[in-house]
Amino acid sequence: MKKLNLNISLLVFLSFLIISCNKDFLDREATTSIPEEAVFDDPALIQLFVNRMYADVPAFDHDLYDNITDESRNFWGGAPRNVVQGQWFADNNPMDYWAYDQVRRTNMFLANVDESALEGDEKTILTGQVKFLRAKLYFDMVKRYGGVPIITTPQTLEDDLFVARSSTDETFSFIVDELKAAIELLPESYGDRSVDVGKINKHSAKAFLGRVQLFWASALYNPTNDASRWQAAAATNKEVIESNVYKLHPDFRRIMLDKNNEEEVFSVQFLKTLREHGWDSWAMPDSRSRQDASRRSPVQELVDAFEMKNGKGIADPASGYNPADPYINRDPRFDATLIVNGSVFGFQGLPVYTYVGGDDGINIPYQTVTGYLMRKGTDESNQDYYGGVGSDQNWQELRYAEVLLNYAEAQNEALGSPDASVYKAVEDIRQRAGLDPYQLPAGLTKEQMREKIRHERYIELSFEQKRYWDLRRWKIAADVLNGKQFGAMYITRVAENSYTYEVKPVDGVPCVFQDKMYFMPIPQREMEKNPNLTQNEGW
Amino acid sequence: MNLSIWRPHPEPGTLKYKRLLMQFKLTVILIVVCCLQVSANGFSQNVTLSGTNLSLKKVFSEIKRQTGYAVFCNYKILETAQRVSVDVRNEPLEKLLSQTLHRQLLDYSIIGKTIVVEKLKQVPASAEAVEEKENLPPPVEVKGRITDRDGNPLPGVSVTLSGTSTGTTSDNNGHFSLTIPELRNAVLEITSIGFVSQKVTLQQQTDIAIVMEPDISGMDDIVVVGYGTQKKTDLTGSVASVDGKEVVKSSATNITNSLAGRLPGITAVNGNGKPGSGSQITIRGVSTFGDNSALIVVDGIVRSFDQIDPNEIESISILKDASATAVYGSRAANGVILVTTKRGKSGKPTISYNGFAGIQNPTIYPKLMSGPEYAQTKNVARQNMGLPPAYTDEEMQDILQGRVQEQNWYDLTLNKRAFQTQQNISVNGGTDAIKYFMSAGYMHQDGLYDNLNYKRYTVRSNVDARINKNFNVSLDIDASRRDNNGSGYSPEAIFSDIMAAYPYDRLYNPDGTVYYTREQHPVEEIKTGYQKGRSDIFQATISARHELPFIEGLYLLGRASFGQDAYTSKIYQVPILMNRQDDDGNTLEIYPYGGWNGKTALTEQYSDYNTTTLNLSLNYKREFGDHEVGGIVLVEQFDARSKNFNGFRTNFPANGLDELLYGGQVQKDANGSSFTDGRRSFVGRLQYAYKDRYLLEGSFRSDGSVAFPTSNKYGNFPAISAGWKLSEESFFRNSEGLNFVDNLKLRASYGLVGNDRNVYSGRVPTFQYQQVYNLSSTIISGSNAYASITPGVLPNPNVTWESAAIANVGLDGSMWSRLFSFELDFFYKRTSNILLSRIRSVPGTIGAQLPAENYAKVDNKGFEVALIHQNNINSLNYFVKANLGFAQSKVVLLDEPANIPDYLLQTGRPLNFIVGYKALGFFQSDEEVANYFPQFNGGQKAGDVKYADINGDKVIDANDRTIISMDNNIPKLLGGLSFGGSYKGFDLNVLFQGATRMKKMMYGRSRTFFNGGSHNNFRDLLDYWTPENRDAKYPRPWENQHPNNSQESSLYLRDASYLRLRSIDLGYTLPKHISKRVGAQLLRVYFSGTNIFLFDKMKMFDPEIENTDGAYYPQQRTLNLGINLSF
Repeated sequence: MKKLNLNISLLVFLSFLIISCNKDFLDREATTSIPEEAVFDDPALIQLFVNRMYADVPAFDHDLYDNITDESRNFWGGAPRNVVQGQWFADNNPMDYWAYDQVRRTNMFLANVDESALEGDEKTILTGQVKFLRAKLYFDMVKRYGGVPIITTPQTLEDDLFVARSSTDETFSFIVDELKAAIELLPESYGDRSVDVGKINKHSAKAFLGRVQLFWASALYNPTNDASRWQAAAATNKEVIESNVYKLHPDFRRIMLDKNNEEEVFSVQFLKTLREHGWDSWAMPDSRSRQDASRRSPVQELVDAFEMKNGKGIADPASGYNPADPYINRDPRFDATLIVNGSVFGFQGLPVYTYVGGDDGINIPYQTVTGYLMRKGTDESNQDYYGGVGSDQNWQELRYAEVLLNYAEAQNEALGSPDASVYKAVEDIRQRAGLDPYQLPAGLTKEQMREKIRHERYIELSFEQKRYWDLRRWKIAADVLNGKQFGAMYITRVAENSYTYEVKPVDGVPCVFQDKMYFMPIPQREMEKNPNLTQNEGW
Repeated sequence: MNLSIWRPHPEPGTLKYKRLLMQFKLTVILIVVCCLQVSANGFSQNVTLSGTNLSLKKVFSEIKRQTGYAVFCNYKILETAQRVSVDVRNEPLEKLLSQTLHRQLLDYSIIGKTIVVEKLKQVPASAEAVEEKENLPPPVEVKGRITDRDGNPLPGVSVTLSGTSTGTTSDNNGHFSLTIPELRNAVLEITSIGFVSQKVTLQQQTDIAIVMEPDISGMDDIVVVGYGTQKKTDLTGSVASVDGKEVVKSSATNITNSLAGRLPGITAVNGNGKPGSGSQITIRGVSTFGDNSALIVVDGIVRSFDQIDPNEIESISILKDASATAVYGSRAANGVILVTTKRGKSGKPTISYNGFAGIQNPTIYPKLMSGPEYAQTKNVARQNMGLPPAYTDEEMQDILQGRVQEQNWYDLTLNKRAFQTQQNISVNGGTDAIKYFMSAGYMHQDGLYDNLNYKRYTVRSNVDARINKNFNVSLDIDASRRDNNGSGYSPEAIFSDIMAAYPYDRLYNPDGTVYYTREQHPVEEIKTGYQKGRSDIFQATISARHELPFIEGLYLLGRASFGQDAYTSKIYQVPILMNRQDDDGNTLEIYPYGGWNGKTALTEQYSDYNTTTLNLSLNYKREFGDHEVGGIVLVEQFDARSKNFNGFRTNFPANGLDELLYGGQVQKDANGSSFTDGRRSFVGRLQYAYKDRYLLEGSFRSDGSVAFPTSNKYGNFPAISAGWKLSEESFFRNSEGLNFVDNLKLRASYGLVGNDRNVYSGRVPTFQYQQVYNLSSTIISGSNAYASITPGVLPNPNVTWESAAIANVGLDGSMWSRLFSFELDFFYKRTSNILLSRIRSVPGTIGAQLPAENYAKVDNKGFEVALIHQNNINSLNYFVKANLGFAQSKVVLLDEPANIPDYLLQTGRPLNFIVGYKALGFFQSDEEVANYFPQFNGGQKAGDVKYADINGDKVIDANDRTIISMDNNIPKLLGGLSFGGSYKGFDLNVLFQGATRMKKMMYGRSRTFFNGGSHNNFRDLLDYWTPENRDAKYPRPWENQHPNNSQESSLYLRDASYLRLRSIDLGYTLPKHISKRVGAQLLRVYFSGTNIFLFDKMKMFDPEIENTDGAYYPQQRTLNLGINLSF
């Protein structure tokens, strides 16, 4: 018995010993994540972190920004319909972009880079890239809200977190300065065109600066019309043009299809099976869809805005426009941008019939709601598309045509009347488009030229998420949108190849764009949290 | 012992791993060595005791002194037992016990170091018993016959002369004869298990007839509590328990479904009726943000219990207050559910079979609009939107006159009823040295459509071996396999698609190919592709109990348990090839709908979760005169590792080739990750009782976890409780007016318990005290893809446990010999240090994913009542049990944003109240719109919802939102009413269950017309506003969300109170002479059903619906026929 007792005592003792000697039993590390110290100790991991910032750059938009302007509508309604009908609010704004998560990542990099394992060129270049990416985040906010809180350090919970908004000018000024600093740090090239398109370099950063300066000079952000802003914008864009790094792609139809082409300035890149989007699928008429088709039905106003091939608007009696056969002899960009009744489209090589009762006829559920569909940038040879995947065109955030138009606009506004460089910039685009003649009428006034440039942007940059922001910065959104019901084309098939045309409203109720909407409301949840924030007027 | 059973696989070779493994091995080896050691020295526990006219109490305390064995028994047994004469010298304890107890019709079992004494269940009229009859001189012989109500003879009934040890038992014909010294005024006590004891005062008669009344009380049960057991009468904490027998009566295939309404203070919500699914269980409502689920402990091991075969269950205890749960420390704040499985009892083996088969069908499922209703509503919606109609007048005529064939997708897809069965066979028996319970079960549940089913196979073996007088070893092994099969589309997706399907689509083309519906095609979806999930669960627990002879009442209990939960799944997604044809039957397009982006794809997944639980405790229990002292100290260590791995390939050449190796070379993926968890805990408990009247208990647990930083790894959770058995006081006992009270106990407790469910449910990241980076999305640069990483949650270096302080007072009592009994509990619980990120108040400009911080506070108050009435009237014995539980939370401290509007303020309000607009009805005309305040950005028409101007600023906007309900989808008041009984061979058990103070908001298609643009609608939505139907339930139709009418408002809030006949069980036990013919001891046939009737206000859905969008698998009503058989 004594022996047994001893054994038992031993057992107890040993058990306690086992537990107590293994003191680090509870000290473990997460099995699937990397401690911060390890990240900044390893240039490869730092690069992975910067990769995430590139992944944050918005690319193809499912159906919002093109469907809330005079470009297109879609069947589904939802967020775009609510925006069109003015049903968006501080607590429910589908266009919100309060991108401070992304800002924080850039701030974390910039706060740690000096103590990190990065050295030399690698450090300079990545710093330049991150500064650019942060400036872009602020730009995408200031264009919505006006001035926003400027945060440049990774705050902790102990910091004063109730940061007030900087003014619109301060915010723009910060962005411009940061971009200029980035340009200093960035290399001319990464030695490979395909990398230069996706990673920001000196030239692409400068082109982006040109866009920022143009916005800052625009009516919405430049209420006093400070001419020096136009001049600065013109100068920056001019530098890009004169660097001769970029050229217009000769084939407008292929600007999105020929990957990493000479016109691409800064793109979000895609590659089939690894990172995909649904552009081809979204463009399909429903009969050929593999889910999620006909996301963009261009409105009649956009269709009518395309000139005839001879460069004359359809309202011009001399244009040769025939309302009974409206889709022929138009600006070649018409066919590259739009699918109209009878257009051959897709890998099947078959026509799309959008007439009332046609296979892809207007007013069938999930089909076009205007009688038109979008062709721009689609890869018609693609047979492997489905819903939100199957396409890998680059999202061209900035292409050279925009640089030319940015320059033309800034220069035109900076001068009393347009000079030859303004004409050339616009005409380069019209020439590439294939207009014949491509020249603009001589002797245009500043105002006339402004209209030409605006028209050119509408056509050239359609479906590239540019129009909505242009309407706002020009402060003409209320004029263009408010109270309007945009048109849909109801085509009646009379006989083989014989149709009649009638325009009816696509918007069941008139669009709403109130003056207060030029600046979006600061998100309600942020207003609730931060007493130092002031809301934009009217919200 | 085969170590490979539990050996964790991950990261072999790492130092930590090896050390850990070694440590586990060592511990296991130690326990095994310990077993061997002891068995080598093993003798039976011997005792010495002789004396005459000894009270049972005295015998027991002597046993306790000599062996350290504690004795558990009903005090009534002690009171009524005869005095005994014994003479045992250094003989086995068993001999003493049988000498002492056998003739008293008492039985005993030794569980570990506890002797449990209870009334003898079956007294074998053995020769031995007769032989052992005391040989006293026989002045008078009394004879008699004992029967039950129906006149059936009762064998084995104990008949004793009051105040003496003279007694006998009835024979097989119910006859007895007893010789007593004197007849006059002699009192015979007649006792038998299962019957009410009687006292018969004899006058002159020497031949008496005695009719026994059945006793249906079971109040003297021993209740399983944390790390031990306790007599129910000695409980000082709030514990509710339910017997396994009652659980089985619900004929639920999932044990969680049988708890609703059975126990006060438990909320069981049956959110859906998918095969194999159960109920979401919470105890005492909600008292923290996030996860409020209880801790589940099965036979001492933390694990899930929903798929345990109900036939294996001995009892379920619900620990509600801190004194009951504090021994589970950091995981106890939401309450603890203790499940105990059956164990062997000594005696000849009993083989039991319980099986039923039945059908299931939905309790309620909303109807969809018919084709004409759809078409008409569609045109109205289009007109409202200013759009041309979808159906021309001509088409509408065809539709209305039935010239267009319409489909009822619901009927086409679903069967009217589904089959289910559950079978279990078990054997129970043993000797003093070894006892066993073994069980095998099978459950099969079909779904409402083909290819959907759930199968469960379970085996369990609980073996208790008595190695020697001081040493007992138990080995519990259970293994189960659960197969969950379905088509490639989830049940939710299929129900969603049934609702979405267009009534005028066809199913198939004339040539038999699948008709092009463009999207949903539920009839094909239920047979396309598959998802097969299989869980293989294995748990083995060895425990050794060693009585330490050097201190009386002290024993050591060690336990090692290894669990493995291996899950494999194979998901084969196959597109439905829809064939779009023109009117002449020419194929225009073959459209691959669904699958993986229109392709075939196969995903195979493997994951496992391995746990090791080790604990060692020192237990003590001893009586010193009027003082009774008990205690436990325990150390416990828990380690868990899990990993998962999956492979994915697409583009399979043919549907049949569903093995990964046939997948195409592009679009494939392999992925995996792992997870680790560990805890170490120290537990202590001290119990003290004075004169079995004043009870005091203190307990403590210190828990350490890997989840928290070094400085805050450990949390301490103490509790104290006291009980006062008023009915034992002399002023009570001696009072004429109060002696109808059998017992009355007042109890109170206070303690601190922890909660880390939010950490383990993933709401709070485990390692959030460090800044870590995680893998993130892929980017393309040039022609290459690159990974990226992104920072995780902002670190909170001080993160630690949530804690809840719980005060509880209770009153238990019973009256009139248990005719009526009650339990009453009031509780007040304050949960502090709630882990919550300050997302509501920290500006988003910080940009970080905020860490959870320990700061929020929530109060929860409530009460529970349980009332039991039971009685026997003639052959009828019956019971009625009612219970009610109420709990309401209140936020005490929360980060409130600086400029928050009042309706979002949570402080001082219950958790999860519902915010929305207050609907005033509908605008009845456009003039009314014009005359009303501007509402949102305008644009309303007659038939749109009109909202109240809450803030009085004459504008209706977001600031006019308000609290439209303080209640939410968790009921605050719940109750159950069960009754039943038996009459002759029949028995009945009926349970009604109800809940109220529950509100549900309708979402998605239950309030949106043509959700997604063209989907079908619930028929309820037909009651929409038109100039002719102004008093409508829904606004004017629209396609999809309407900016004004789709706002969250009181219009879509529904009262989800309900009362339902939750379960019914009606059985008939065949008379013995019939059952014997088939060789059975017992043969019972029964009908049982669940969710039979429902009274509710919601009407459209079952009020327990988990997703008011309607995309869910409806709750099922089941009707079963079954057999109980035992040999």
